[in-house]
Order: sequence, then C-alpha cells, then structure tokens
Amino acid sequence: MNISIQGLHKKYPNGNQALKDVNLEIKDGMFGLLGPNGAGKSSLIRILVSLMKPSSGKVLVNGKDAAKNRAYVRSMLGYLPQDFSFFSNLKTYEFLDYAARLAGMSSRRKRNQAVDQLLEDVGLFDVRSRKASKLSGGMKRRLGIAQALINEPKIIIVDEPTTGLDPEERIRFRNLLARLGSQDVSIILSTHIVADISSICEHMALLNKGQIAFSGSPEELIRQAVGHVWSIYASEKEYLEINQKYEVVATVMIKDGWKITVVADEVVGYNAEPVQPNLEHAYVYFVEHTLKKVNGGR
Amino acid sequence: MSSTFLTIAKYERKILLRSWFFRIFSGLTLFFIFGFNIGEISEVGNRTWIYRAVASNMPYIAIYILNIGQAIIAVFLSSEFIKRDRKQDTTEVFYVRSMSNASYILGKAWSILSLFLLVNIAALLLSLIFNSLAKDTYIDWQAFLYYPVLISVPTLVFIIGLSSLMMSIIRNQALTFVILVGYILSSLIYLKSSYHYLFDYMAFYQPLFHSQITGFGDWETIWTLRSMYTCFGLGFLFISILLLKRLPQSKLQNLLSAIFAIGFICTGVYLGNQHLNRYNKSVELPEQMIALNNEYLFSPQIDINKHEILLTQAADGISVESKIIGNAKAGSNEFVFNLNPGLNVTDVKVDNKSIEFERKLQLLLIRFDTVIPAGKEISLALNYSGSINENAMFIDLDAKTKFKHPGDYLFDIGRKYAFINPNFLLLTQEAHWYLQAGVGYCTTSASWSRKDFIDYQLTVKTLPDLIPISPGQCKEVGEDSYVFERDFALPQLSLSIGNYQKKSLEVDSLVFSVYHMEGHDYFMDALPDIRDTLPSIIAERLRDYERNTGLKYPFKEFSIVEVPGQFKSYDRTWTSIHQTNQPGLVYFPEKGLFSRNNDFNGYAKRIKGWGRNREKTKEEIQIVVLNRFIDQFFDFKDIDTRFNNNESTIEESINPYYQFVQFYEMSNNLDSEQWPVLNRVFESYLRGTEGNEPEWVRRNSGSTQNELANMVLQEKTFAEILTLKENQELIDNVIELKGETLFSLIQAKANTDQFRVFIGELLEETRFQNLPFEEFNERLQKEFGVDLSDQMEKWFNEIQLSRYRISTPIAEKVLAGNKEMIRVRFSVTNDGDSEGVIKVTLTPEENTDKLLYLEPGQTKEAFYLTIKEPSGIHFNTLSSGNLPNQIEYNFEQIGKSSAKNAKEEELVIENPMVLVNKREIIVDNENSAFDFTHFEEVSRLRKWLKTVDEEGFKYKGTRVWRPPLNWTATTNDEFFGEFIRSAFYIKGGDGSKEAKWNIPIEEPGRYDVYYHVYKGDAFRWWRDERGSYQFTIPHQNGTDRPKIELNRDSPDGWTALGDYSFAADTVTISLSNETKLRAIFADAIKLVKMD
Repeated sequence: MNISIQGLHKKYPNGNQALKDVNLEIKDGMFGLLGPNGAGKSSLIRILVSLMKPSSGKVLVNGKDAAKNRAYVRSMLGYLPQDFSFFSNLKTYEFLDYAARLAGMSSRRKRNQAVDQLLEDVGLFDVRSRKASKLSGGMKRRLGIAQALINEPKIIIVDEPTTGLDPEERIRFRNLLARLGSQDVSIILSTHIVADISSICEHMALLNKGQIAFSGSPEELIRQAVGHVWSIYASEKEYLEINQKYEVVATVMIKDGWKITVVADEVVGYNAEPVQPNLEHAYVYFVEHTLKKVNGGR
Repeated sequence: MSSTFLTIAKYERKILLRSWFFRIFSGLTLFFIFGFNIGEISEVGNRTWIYRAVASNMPYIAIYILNIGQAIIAVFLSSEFIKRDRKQDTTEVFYVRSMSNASYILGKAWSILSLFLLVNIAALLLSLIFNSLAKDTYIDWQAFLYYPVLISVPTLVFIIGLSSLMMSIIRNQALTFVILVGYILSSLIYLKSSYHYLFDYMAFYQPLFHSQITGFGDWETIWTLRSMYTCFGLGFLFISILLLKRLPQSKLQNLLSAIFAIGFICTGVYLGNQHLNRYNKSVELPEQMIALNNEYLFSPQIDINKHEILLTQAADGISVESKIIGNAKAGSNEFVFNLNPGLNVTDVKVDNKSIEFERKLQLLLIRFDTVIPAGKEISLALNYSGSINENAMFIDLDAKTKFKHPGDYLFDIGRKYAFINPNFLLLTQEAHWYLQAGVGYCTTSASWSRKDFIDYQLTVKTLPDLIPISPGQCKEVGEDSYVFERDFALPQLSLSIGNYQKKSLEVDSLVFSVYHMEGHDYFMDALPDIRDTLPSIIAERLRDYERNTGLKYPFKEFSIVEVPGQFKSYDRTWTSIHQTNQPGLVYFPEKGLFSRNNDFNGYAKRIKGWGRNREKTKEEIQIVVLNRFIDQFFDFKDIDTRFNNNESTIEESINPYYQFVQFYEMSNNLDSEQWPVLNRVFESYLRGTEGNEPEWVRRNSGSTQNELANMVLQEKTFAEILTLKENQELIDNVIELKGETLFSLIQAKANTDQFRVFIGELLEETRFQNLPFEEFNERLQKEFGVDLSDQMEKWFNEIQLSRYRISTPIAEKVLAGNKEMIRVRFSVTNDGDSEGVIKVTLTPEENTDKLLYLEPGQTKEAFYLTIKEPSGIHFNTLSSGNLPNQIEYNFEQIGKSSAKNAKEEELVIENPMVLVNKREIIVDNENSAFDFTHFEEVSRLRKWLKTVDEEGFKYKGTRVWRPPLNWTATTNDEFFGEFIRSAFYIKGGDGSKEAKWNIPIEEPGRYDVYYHVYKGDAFRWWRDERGSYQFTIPHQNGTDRPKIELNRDSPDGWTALGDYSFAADTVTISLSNETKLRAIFADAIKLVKMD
C-alpha cells in the first residue's frame, strides 16, 4: 500500500488556510500524524477519506488519484472519526453488520463470522446484543474501531482515537492497532497525544499550522532532541524562576523541592543534567525550539 | 448499487421501526382504523351500507384514514433522516464506504416508503378481516392493490421527496417541518379541491370511488395527478441526491441522477400542465357556451314534433342518425339547435339533399337555401358521432358548486353526468346527446327553458350482450338491435345501456321493475316473509300518494334502473326534475349505496331492537323496512345539518329520487313564454306543504328556509330574487313559497272545494302536452271567474306584503242543526298592503286545509266546524310579514257555546282586530322601548378561531342546551308579538346582564303588571329544570323585586307580577339574567290599568 500526498492545499471559504503544500509518503505499517490542535490534522484526514476536496494538490493511492477513483479508495478504507458517539437504534452486532454490508461483504456467513471475530477482538462479544447507544464511552470507541476494521481494509485511518479513554482502554486500543499494523495494511493515526505514537508508530509526520514540520521515524525526531532535555533538582524559589525561563515538560515533587525536566538548547546553572529524551520531549523541543527558530528565521 | 441500496433500506427501516414516534403513530392509526371498522362496518356497529354495497370502499376508507396520518408523519421521519446526517460523526463512517449518493438517498427513502407500505398492508389486513366477517357483501381483491398504489404511494413518494429536498436546502428540521405541515394544512383547509384537485397531494378530496359497474369516475384526472405527484416526489429525491453533502462517488450515477431529476420534474410539470389545461377548458367551455346561448337565444327555432333517433353504440362513443319533423316557429332560412360539443355532425339533409350547416361549440346552425315561412313543416335528417363532453353539462353551475365535497362520507364519491364505456352507457337530456331546438342555458333571459313534449322514436344498436333501457316498451328487432315503443310524448329522453337484468312485478296493471347489474340482486333475498303481500303494499302506497296529491301516476311502468354511484345531478331553479328522474323511471345508484334504507337485511336487524319493534313479527318488521325504502321516493327534500364554529346551518336540497316529478313535471307542462318559472310554481302548489321542514331545523338555525324565503320576499320582488344566482337554495324556497301562495290565493278566491278536482281533471286532459298559460287562465275564468293575468305582473314584479294579526282561537261545542259539533273561531286582520291567504289546519290533521282569503286591511272572523275534538289549530301565513309564518295553538279546554245553527263561515268585520286593549300597554322586545345590556362576551378560543364576525340572519336558533352568552334574538310561535313573535334570550347567570322595558305611562294610577312567559324545550327535556325570573319594578312607593318561579308544571303565557302605582312617566322594568334556569327569555311586559 502506498499513499502519496502531493502539494496538498486546503483553504476554507472563511479564508482559513488549513493545509499548505503538504507532501507525504505513507507506506504499510503504522503512520502517526502528530500536531497540536488546529494544526490541520483533521482536514488532512477528511481529504484522505474523501469526505472533503482539497483546494489543490492530490492524493495518490497505489498511484491512482484518489479524487478520480473514490470508489477504489473507499473500497479499501476503514475510518474512525474523532467524535464517534451518536448511534441510532441499532444493536452492537447489527451496527457492525450494517458496516460490513456497506464494506462489501455480501455473504451472510462470512459476515457473521467476521462480525463475531471483530467483536471478540475488541472485547464486545458479550454485549453484542446491547443497543450501541447504551455502550460505555470506551466500548463505543472499540465498536468504532471494529467498524473501521471490518472486511480487512487496506487503509485504516483513525482520528484522535484515544481521546477520552481511560488508561487501560487506551493501552488496549494501542495494542489492537499495533497488531494490525504488523500486517499488510497502512494505518494512519492522527493524534495530539504523543504517547499514542511513541508506542506503536514506525513512521510519523508532525503537522504544524497546516504544514509538515517533520516527517520521519519517531527515533529521528527523538535524536534531534538529544542534549536538549535537562533534569533539574530545584528548590521552591528556583522552580518559579525555571518555569519562567525554560519550557518545563515534567515536574515531580520530591522531598526537599522539585525534580523538573526542561527542554532547552542550554541550561545555565541549577546543576542541570542532560537526560535521554523520549518522543514527548522531542515533540516539545521540536515545536517550541526548532519550529520557532525556523519561523523566527523566516 | 442494488445491494447497497437494499442494505441501507434494510437497516434504516430497522432504525425507524424501533423509533417510538413511528410505533405510536402506526399503533394509533391502526387502532383508529380498527375502531372505524368496528363502528361502521362490523355487525355490532352501524353496518354502513356504502361500504358493504360497494366493497372496494372498505379498503378505500382504511387507506384514506391511514393516508392522512402517514402524510404528516412521513414529513417528520424524512426530515429526521437528513437531520441525523448532519450529525457528521457516525454518518461519516458510512459516507466513507464505497457507495453512490443515489444508493444512499434512495435507500433511505425506500426504507420509509417500504415501512409505511408495511403499515398499509397491516391496515389492509385489518380491513380484509372486517370485510370477510361482514355480511351481505363481497371482497373486491383488486381494490386492496389499487388503493394503496393510487393513494399511499404517490402521497409518500411526494412527501418524502419534498421533505428531503426542503431539508437539503433549508437544513433545519424544525423549519422544514413547520413549512411542510403548513403546506399540508393549507392544501387540506384552503386549497381543497381548487383547480380540480391540483393541490390535493393526499387525494383527500379527489374522488377515488371505484364503481362496480364502470370503475373510477374520472380516471384521467386520477392518473394525471397521482402520476404528477409521484414524478415530483421522485424528481425531488434525485435533486436531493445531487444536493447531498457527500463527495459523489460515481460521475455516471450523478449524471443519471441529474437526468432523472430533470426528467421526473419535467414529466410532473407536463402532467400538471395537462391537468390545468383540462381544468381551464372545463371552466372556459361553459362560459363560452353561455355567451353563445345568450347571443342566439332569439334566433329562429323549429318546434320539433317528432324525433326519430337511431343510435349505434361503440366502445368509446356513439354514432347517431337523427330525423326531425317540426314546424318553423318564425320565418327564416337559418334555425338554431343545440347538441353536445363532443358530438361531430357530419351531414345534414333535407329531402335527401345535403344542406349547409355550421357548428359553434354546442350550437348547430342549419341554413336553408330559401326562407322557410313560419309554421311550415320541415323534415331534417342528420348524422353525428363522437363522445359526450361532460364539461358542456350543467353549465349554469360554477366549479365550486360542482366540486363541492358532499360531506356525507369521509371521501367523495365523485360526480359524472354521462357515461360512455365499453360496458356501460348513460345519457340524459342534460348530455344533449340528441338534437334539441333552440339554445341551452342563458343568463340574459329565462325564456330558453321551455319544456316541450316530443314524440321520440328511439332505435338502439348496442354492443354485444348489452341491454338498453329508455322510457317505453323495449323490443328486440334484430341482433343487438332494439326499438322503444310508447304511446305518449316525452319532455326529455334518456338512454342507458348495460349488462342489465330485470326483475319485475305487476300490480293493478302497473309494472314495477328493477334493472340491475349481474350479481346485484341482493334485494331478492330481502323481505322473504312479505313476498306475497309486497305488490299490494307498494300499490297501496302509490294509491295513498295519488289520493293525497289528487294526481294520478301517468305511466304504465315504474322502473328503478341501476347506474354507477358517481352519477350526479343537481338542483335547478327552473325545474324540479333531477336528471336521475326520467319519465317512468329513476336512475338509482348501484345497490342504493347512499342510503341504509337500501340495506334491507341490515336495516331490519337494526330496527328489531328498537322500542316497540321488539314485539313486532318478522313480517311487520319487513313491512317497516319496505316502507322506509319506498319513503325515499316520496321525501321531497334532503336536509343536512352542518356545524361550523358552534353555529349549525341547515342545507336543503331536493331529493334526487323524489318521484312527485312523475305526477306532474314528466307528464304536464304549464307553458308560459313570459313567466317560464310558472310551471315550477304551479308544481309547488300541487305538491303542497308536504315538504315542511321539521321543527329541529328552526330550533337549530333560527329559521327555516321557508321563513328566510319569506323575509327575502319582503325586500325584493320575485323577479329580482330569481336573478340571485348564488343562492339557489333560497330561490328554490322562494319559488315554493310564492307558488303555494299564488295558487292558494286563486283557490281561496274561487272559494270552492272543486278547485283541486278541476285542476286534477285539467291535468289528465292535457297529459303529455303543453298547457299554455293563456288557455289555463281562460279555463279558470270560465270555471271560477278568476282572472290570473291581472295579477301576474304584480305578483312577479312587485313586493307583495300581507301581514296578519290573529286573535287567540277559541274552540267550543255548538249545535249545528241537531248535531253537536266543535266550532273553532278566530279573527284575523290583514294589516299589509296586499291581498293574502292563510292556510288553516285543525290538528290532529284533517284532510283538507281551509284557505282564508283577506284583502288588504280586511278583517274576518272565521268559524270552522269539526266533528272530532281538535287538539289545536295551525296557521300558515305563507308569504307574509309574519315571523314565524307558521303558528300553532293548542286548545287547553273546549268550552260550550249556546250558539245554535252554527255553520262554517267567514264574516267580514268592520273593526280591525287589536291585540292590545284600550286599558293595556304592551311593550314587546321588538319595540324600540326595549333594551338590554350589550356585552361582547365570546370565549377567547372562539374569537381566535373566528376573527371575522359574520353578520348572519338576525334571529338565531333557540338552543336551550347551549344558550348564548349575549342577549340573542330568536323566534318562536309561542313568543308574544304582533307580527314577529320573537324574544331575546341568554344563558342563566349571575345578574350582570339585564333586559329592560322602558314603558311610557301616560295616565298615572295603579296597574296590574304581567310578563309573557315562554317555557319551551328546556322544561320538556329536563325534568328537574326549575328557577326564577327576577324583575325590578320601580314604582311610586319604592322599588319591588318580584319573581316568577318556573318549573315543569308552572303555566306559561301572561303571568302576573303584581300591581303597582306609577306616575305619568317612563317606567323601566328590568329582567336580570340571575337564575338557575338554563336560559332566560326576554319577551313582553303588559300593564293593565286598574280602576
């Protein structure tokens, strides 16, 4: 599976430029799309799932222009939108069955099997006869992913999938995606929660103000932040000063003061010690320092 | 596409099915249909005959009821769909699936449609169950298919399409719902059947009755409009596909959607346009025809004496060879005839030589080479063929009258005036299917409508195996060829052809026949126990009627001929003949579906449980049933009550099956060129007052049509009233009243019992021919010395007002010769400025009315003798200034008089009758000295509902079960009044409203004060009704508050309030509305001077 996004622009009628010259190559496996709120992730995703037309540029799926081959793209698509909570009067299995029929599974036997399997996979088999509207938030989300996965789509696009989930649900969800990502499938995971990506994505892109700010592996992003993440043990007074001067990414209260993690090119004083960055640190470093420098430079 | 479409439909249907809104709606509707079936169709309910007689009406009514609900609910459900789509979360997971927008929208639409169709099936199943259980009926399986297809499918497709489209554009469910419900209500309440049902998307008003004989009435309109709505619905759906906020998947399908949208909308517009064109033509044609009639009214005519017609029936028309023999009425080379404009004249010949003719719509102008002198006999032969244009029939009636929803049943049966079908044909005079001399209906003069008796010779060639029926003896003269023979001339000719079967019986050389369609002989099993006596019962009824009217049935046959239910005829002012009536026969709707009197078994079953009927034998019950059946041919008028904003109005029309027409209109004609209406006027005199409206009519509406006619005659001349085209009902009643008055006057002037005998003999003598007015007048003069021509002009063109003051009648035992008899005496003064006549009847009703003639200003004392003790006396002042014009007195006691040699006489008295003695002062509510507290108290709801206060007739009904909140005028013969017996009445209340009599006292002194008490219906209906009238009387020594206590047994009339001293001033006596009685009546106060 090969998705090629070329020179994508999106400008809304109200003048808001949501995407500016977005270029991306997405292969098989998990692909993380990271960016702050309002960065243009949802616009990009709505274009990818053919819910919206770009102002210019194109998306090629296996070399075919998605705008001209909507049937082709839609036939291999599984999509879980960001706010997936409104359900009609259908039971859990009926909802999936409906999705399966629309996804092209015409054989009732196969469909039943697939529906049961998916319900089992997402842990909803026991509530298969419960009305979808009566499921808990987490269950609804799992049902959402189940409908996105029905009939083995080649492209799965999930928009902010873990928002509002409790930690246990979130881990279960990540694992489910990771398992799928290991198959011959492209999964695009759009999120502003870094941990979603750090745990499962092999490739990622960072979208900021409608533009691709970074594209590569999470490790590459982390590498850029090595030497820029510091750990400081600070007193109450120092803590306030540090908070003013640096980008604090973590604060832990200890016996005689605070253990603070900051992202900065350089920290003067405070016995700051460099620490190994994680993706979250790297994301903050990238957004707060690299992008600002670039933008400032412009 | 199909599998996706079905998938969407399947699951959306599931979602809908689970919505409580839908469940409650379907449950309630089905429950209502169930209830309706129980009430109207089942054995335990009404067994309403219209549903059983024509069984297709059972599924029709089920779908009709369901459709009203589903039309509104579908709006909500389809806009709900789009609304859900706007919640873009869950819907998006479906939007990204591989499917076309068309599959999506059409799938959703189909889900609603299919679900409602399931409800339709449930409703039809219910109907089928009741249909199967109902007795004396059958199952019309096809109706279970065509009613949902014709009613539900177009309604649903249209409303689903329209809602989807509106929602796609407006994108606000509440607004869409409000707009669409507004549209639905306006189509139901305002647009109704306008433009010939163009806006009736629900087929709520459009007649979809399916006759068992000919099927749907106006199939072209049904097909056009139902297809139009289906096309619009589909067109809107395809536009909604294009407007769907989802990126299209298939360009081809989008293109197809656009093509379909344009295609369906264009087809819808085309069909609508076709319909409008037809409608416009139907409206324009009568106008054009009337204009032509007006133009050619005085063109020379031929007086037709003999008319031979050879009609050949075809599946879609007729072809006729016609031969006319007549005389030129005036010298001319051009003569005017009229013939239905749907018939094309191909050839006109005189002596086998074609002559020139011109067709102008309905008119046929025949031109001779030379001038034909007046009186010369002419023989014409012509050929024509074609069909009947129904728009050319009843051209005097406007579309509103023609398409008025009859309101007898929920749905409209529809109306057809002529039939030309492969298996049925019905043509009456109104169809102008045969050539008639002169022009038709005119607006400039009434002289067009002169009846004539013509010797018609009719030969008919029918389609195979069909039987023709027309007045006269039918003889088969060849294969499918028949001749009608008769020895009398006809005023009009009609023909019906169908798959008729005949059942007949002969009584006293009169043949009674029923011509019915195959399988419609349900009546053969009815009345099994009186089969032997049946002929004698029928004969007895006829002879009774002949005795009562003094006229003889003129034909040898009387046939009831079954015709489709849609066959419709209207009242006309110039004749009482309905097109349903023809010489010696009546066209009766299939199985008599409109009246339960024709459901013999059902009616017998129903009345068995009523009161005394429980003790009746089977035979007696069946005689009652038979008599009820016969009654419908002798009831003059159909009276309907309609309720509107708490007011009830009475609508009267001539019963189309009323057979008095056979006794006069079909066989006689009093012909007057100057006053054509005279024939109808004479007829109403002959018919007499048998058509009097029942008491409940005036109790409800405040006055009878007869009284309204009387009031109008006080303000307008007869000639003027005849031009008030918009008020046909009133004109009818004026004609009745005027007719009765004129001939009663002549009869009274003739002053002999022989008048009616003379009239009867004269009519026998001039049967089947015209009786010119001049000849009639001559005979009258010769026989009775009465000259009508003197007064005709005045009678027609002047307001003639007589009004009478009648004394209280006295009944007493007297000796007449040596025989004890009862004498009734009373005095009457004619206070008006024209002569008049009063009909006096002693009750219980005696055989003959007494007619009391009074010249203007004349006073008479009348003495009538009777052997039987009368309970009362009835005065009918006919056309007069009295209101009510019918007054009834009951004799409380019969005294004894010492008078001997008493005889019946009318004495002219010098002094006029006075109601008020010298010593008395009476102030009535009609007097200007009467006043009351004015309030505008109307319930808020009523005010909202009825924003414009319609000024109606001053006097309202006396409705004591729901008295008015304001003082309201009402009339009744039990009230006091010199000429107008009226009072004001109001609901019993708290004393805040008063009525006042300002009585001028010229002579001071002591007076007895009386009040005229009216008790009326309240005390008859409610045993416990009791309460008081409270008066305030200011007098010289202070103010008194006397009361009159009323209960069931207390007397009415003048009741004493006490005696008081008054100064020479105006005394104001007031009556309060404070009472426990339901209503208080403010009538009259009387003061009697004491010595």
